[in-house]
Amino acid sequence: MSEDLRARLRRAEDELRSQVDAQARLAFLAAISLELDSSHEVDETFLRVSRMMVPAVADACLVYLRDDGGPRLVAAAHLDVAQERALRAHVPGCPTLVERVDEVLRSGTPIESGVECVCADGLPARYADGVLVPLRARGRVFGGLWLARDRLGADSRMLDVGFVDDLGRRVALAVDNALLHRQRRDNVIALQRRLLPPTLPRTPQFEFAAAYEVADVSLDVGGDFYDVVRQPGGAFALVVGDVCGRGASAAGLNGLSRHTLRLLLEEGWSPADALARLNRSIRDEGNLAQFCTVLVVSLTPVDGGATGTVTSAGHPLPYRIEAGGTVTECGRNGQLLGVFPQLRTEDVPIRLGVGDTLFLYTDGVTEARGPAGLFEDRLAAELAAAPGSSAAETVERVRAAVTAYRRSAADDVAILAARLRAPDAEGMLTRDEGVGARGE
Amino acid sequence: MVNDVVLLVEDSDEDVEAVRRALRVTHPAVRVEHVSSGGELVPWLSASGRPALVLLDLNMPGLDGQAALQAARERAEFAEIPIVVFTSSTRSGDVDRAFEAGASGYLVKPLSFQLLQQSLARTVTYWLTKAEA
Repeated sequence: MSEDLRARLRRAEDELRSQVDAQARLAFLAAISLELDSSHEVDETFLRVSRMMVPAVADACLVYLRDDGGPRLVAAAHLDVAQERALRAHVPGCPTLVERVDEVLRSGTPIESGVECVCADGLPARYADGVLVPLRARGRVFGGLWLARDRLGADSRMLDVGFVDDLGRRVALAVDNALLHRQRRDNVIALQRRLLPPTLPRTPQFEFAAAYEVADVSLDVGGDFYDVVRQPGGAFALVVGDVCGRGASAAGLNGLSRHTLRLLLEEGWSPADALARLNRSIRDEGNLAQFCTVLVVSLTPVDGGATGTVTSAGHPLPYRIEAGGTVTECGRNGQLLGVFPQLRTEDVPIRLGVGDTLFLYTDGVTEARGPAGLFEDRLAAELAAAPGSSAAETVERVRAAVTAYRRSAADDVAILAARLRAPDAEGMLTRDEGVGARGE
Repeated sequence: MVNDVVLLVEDSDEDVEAVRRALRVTHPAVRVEHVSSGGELVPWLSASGRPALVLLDLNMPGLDGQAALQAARERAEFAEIPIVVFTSSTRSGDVDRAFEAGASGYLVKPLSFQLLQQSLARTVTYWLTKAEA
């Protein structure tokens, strides 16, 4: 074979290898982009990234985040779990690596860097080849990605600065998105907490309990709300509402409704008058697209029971669960809030006996859809199934039944229950009273 | 005695063929042996001796990879055999469970053949070199 032919064969071989390498890099970029798109959790993203990099690109992978105290290791992978454990144990306190990572975080410039560790318990010359790149998004370096070849490993043609830097940019963008997603979720949770009462009143006469679940499809703020308000003369007003829509606009109406009603009911307004005043406030805002339904039940303890009123502004009516297990719907429907200039509702009298429970809910309960239709057809039977339950037990049983029944959480769920204690139980509070807010 | 055998525990014929093709190019001296269920791992090791490496799929009918791994690690004579989990899952929970069960490594099945070839080449090279070191 002539020298010329050998040279041409070598060139052809090099060219073919370059093409194969390029295909492998493109394939890896596509695969990791797909993987990054599928995760909105920061920690999970880092773990998945490190697991994909090893061994496709390198033998070892470390991911750092920049913290106030300096670089913090958030993920580590090695194709040998024994070495992975050694890395995890050694790396956080290794001055050699910390110095290199610091350098990249400061400069924002990738470097080729193996680790010639000087620590007494270090990793001497184990990683001769390595690449350390910054993780940068929106002009800010927030972390670093280190990929390296173990001295026992094969040469990696993927392990070059340009390619790893490209990987780093994609990872950074995905992580930045995940960080934004986490921040938004935290904001939603904080706002949701402000839209619900932090606790329910603890009284000798009534047990109160509530549950709340946000349908976490879009991470919007839920539109349901509930409250229990102390009224003059020892009465309590139970409030449950459902605002049209979700998100910031619904949250605004949610806050307006709950706080307006709380103020007016505390001042002694009748439920019908308080709802009429709230109706004017909503309409005064001038947004004809916003409306809501609200149910108010006012209860006053009397000898041998409690008397009060049920007032519905377009909201599903409550159920009375008698101590013996009989379940009855109470009240009469009125108009929903924000639609009509003159709201028509009616304060319908109600009486509770000792041990009776009043059960209020939003349509996330009745409209939960399962294989056999809506949960609405099952609610009364569910309430009658365990007479004598505490308010908290009733709330939890229905919440669990709805969750088990529905195919997906399409709507928020708010549940509120009040049970009249027996006179000999006055002054005693059960351990399970309180509020269970979920979806956080 | 370590030989140049890679035992592949995998129920997908397609994946078996891909691994064979990949290693035929990068490690022609390596022989790929294959069993198609987790229940065959321990009997194979008992009958055939120590391979250089076991690649173990997780999701298989019958005894799955996780259970097969635990069964192998319960036997002292198989404690040092490199068993690398070979799966499509990158979920951290699956990784943690595999390591708790005694996996020596975790190899995510790549979507492309080139990546599979590179990943397998790195994995096999590492474990062969480590065995000789």
